[in-house]
Amino acid sequence: MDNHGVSRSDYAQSRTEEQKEKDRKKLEQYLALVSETNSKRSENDFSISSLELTSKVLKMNPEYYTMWNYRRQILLKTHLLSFDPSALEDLDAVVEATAAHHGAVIKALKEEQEFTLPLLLVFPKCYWLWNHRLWTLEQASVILSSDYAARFWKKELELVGMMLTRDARNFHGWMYRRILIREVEKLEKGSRAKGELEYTLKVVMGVGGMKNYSAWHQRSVLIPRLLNEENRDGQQRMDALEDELELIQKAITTDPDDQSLWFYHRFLVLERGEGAIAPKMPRSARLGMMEQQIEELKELLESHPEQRYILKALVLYVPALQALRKEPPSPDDEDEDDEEEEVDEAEENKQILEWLETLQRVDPMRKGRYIDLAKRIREA
Amino acid sequence: MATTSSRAPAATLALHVEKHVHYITTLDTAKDTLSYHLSEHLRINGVYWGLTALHLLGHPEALPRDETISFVTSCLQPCGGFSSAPGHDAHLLSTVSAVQILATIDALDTIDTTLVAKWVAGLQQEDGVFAGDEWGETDTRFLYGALNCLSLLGKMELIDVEKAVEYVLRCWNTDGGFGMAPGAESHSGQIFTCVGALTIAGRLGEIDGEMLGDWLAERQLANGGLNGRPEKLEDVCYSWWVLSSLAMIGRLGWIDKEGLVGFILGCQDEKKGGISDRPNDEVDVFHTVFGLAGLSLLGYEGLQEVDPVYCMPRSVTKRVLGN
Ligand SMILES: [Zn+2]
Repeated sequence: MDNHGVSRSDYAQSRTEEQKEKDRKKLEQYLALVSETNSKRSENDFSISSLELTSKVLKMNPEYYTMWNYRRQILLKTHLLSFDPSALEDLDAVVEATAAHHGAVIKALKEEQEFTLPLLLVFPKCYWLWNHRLWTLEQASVILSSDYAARFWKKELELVGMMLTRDARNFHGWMYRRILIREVEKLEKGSRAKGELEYTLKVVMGVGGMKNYSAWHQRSVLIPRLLNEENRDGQQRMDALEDELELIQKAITTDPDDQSLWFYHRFLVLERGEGAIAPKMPRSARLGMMEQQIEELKELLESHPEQRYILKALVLYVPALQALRKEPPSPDDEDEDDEEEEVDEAEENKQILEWLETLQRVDPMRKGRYIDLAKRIREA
Repeated sequence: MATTSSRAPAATLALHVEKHVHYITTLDTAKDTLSYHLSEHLRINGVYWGLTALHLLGHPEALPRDETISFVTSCLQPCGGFSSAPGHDAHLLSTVSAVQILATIDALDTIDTTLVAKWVAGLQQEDGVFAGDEWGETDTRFLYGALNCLSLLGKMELIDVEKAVEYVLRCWNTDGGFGMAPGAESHSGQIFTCVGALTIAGRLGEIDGEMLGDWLAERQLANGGLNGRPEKLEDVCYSWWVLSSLAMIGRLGWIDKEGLVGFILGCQDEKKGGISDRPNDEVDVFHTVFGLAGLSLLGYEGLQEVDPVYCMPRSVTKRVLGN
């Protein structure tokens, strides 16, 4: 049903008589197992022996979502059953029973994570697997005290770190990591944004990491969040923006063909909304920042005259700069008294149109986009 | 990293209609194979993919209507949700497929649509998103699915559309795209679900098509195929999600249509029919329908018109939605 990345010739070769015979045997075994498990379920059998049946089925087929549901139903009625010691008279008995229950829950949850781990390594893109691990962790939060629950969630951070080392772009992994962090923050009552930001830096600075769009995206979310959490003022935000621009400029100069870098660069230069690093940057400072970025790109263009990402950045940034020039000065802008240079906008537009001509030639696939942009420049 | 198999010249490749019809109509004859049984959790989705492909190919009668109806209704669970196959549990993804199938063959009158719609509506969470089932996993895929089938059932009034829209907008990233949850990285599949949801809700005007269109157009690679995220490989299914999103925001002209036609045609298995994710990979019905839908949206001759929002024949959505 899903043959992503399965080569046609490999597939044909795998259909040997020997393999078919193997499959037939496996199928027989699988169908018998499924039918036994389902009949247990239809009898409302929520026993440990049925839990073991679901393990066998899920090892053969982790996509069988109904089996995960059955498994969770059994767990909730066995190992994870809520415990009410109020019927016990003797206090020592309450202490003993509570401790025993607590221990049993920890053991069951741990076993559940151990069961899904090897499956996750083989099926890292299986939604149901990630989902079941998350459910297990949620049970830890529901049943255990917060310090014990936090241990489960933090341990899971190690796993997701390992998964992301194996595939640095697995979006299940990144999504999962965000969920884990959110829960750990809740349990520990403290932000982890700083540590996570350091993590993304480690990823992009690692081998091949510059191409990692997932990590750049995560930086674009984390930096504004961290600045808000730390109540940073305007100057500190502009400093943070400058640091990021420096980091990305270096990367772009090294490898201007890397698309991931350019989306991040555009975020830094153009984003002005709530999600920006320095949303309230005074107009004069923003003008200076944009002018400097545009100058550096023009310089880079000299050594790569047909590099489409440089050209694309320029045809977007220069019109944005023109629009900014026409905005009224910010009220808190100290430098507004300075004489602003007269700019020949017609000359700028001529250059943008030339860049767009080059883009149509070097990137004919997206010609339609460049024609639309040129039309807008001409009409302006 | 990209498999830069040289671009197939679209003009020299043809669409093998009869082969594809044969491939789809004989899928069910593989009932004795392991892979058939291992994919039972996708059975009803498979029927939707196959049926839609056949309609787009102009062979709507190739799957017997009665059999289709009896299979789909056999998946209806007492709660009002559909399962992927008899004996499985209800899930939103199977329910969407069930409703799409019945709408396509004009058989929505064979089920209690109110019961189904109420089950779907009950999956909406406090923050506007939808869960996939009673176990609570949430994702913008489910939000789109809910809006898709509730609009086909004419029961949008059962949910809080405003909250759903607010949730989608919270998944909107500064790069113009959308992720599976607030803060998550942009991803073509999630963009399709979010743009589709906004379109169904009539709220597409809330987003900036310029940035999004730019991000989407950058998905096209040298061989004409489109990828799902930056620095990833091209794939027929992602090509559809990107293409349909571009269509919804009115920017189909921002990619090389001919290049994409060539890429999809180059993914056909010319011997046995069917379309794969990339040239020379093994075919499946999933990539077959998205390949055909892509060709249809690109105006390929001889195919029925597809609706980019629903991935169903346009004639069907016109009949059901009345526009
Ligand atoms: Zn695919």
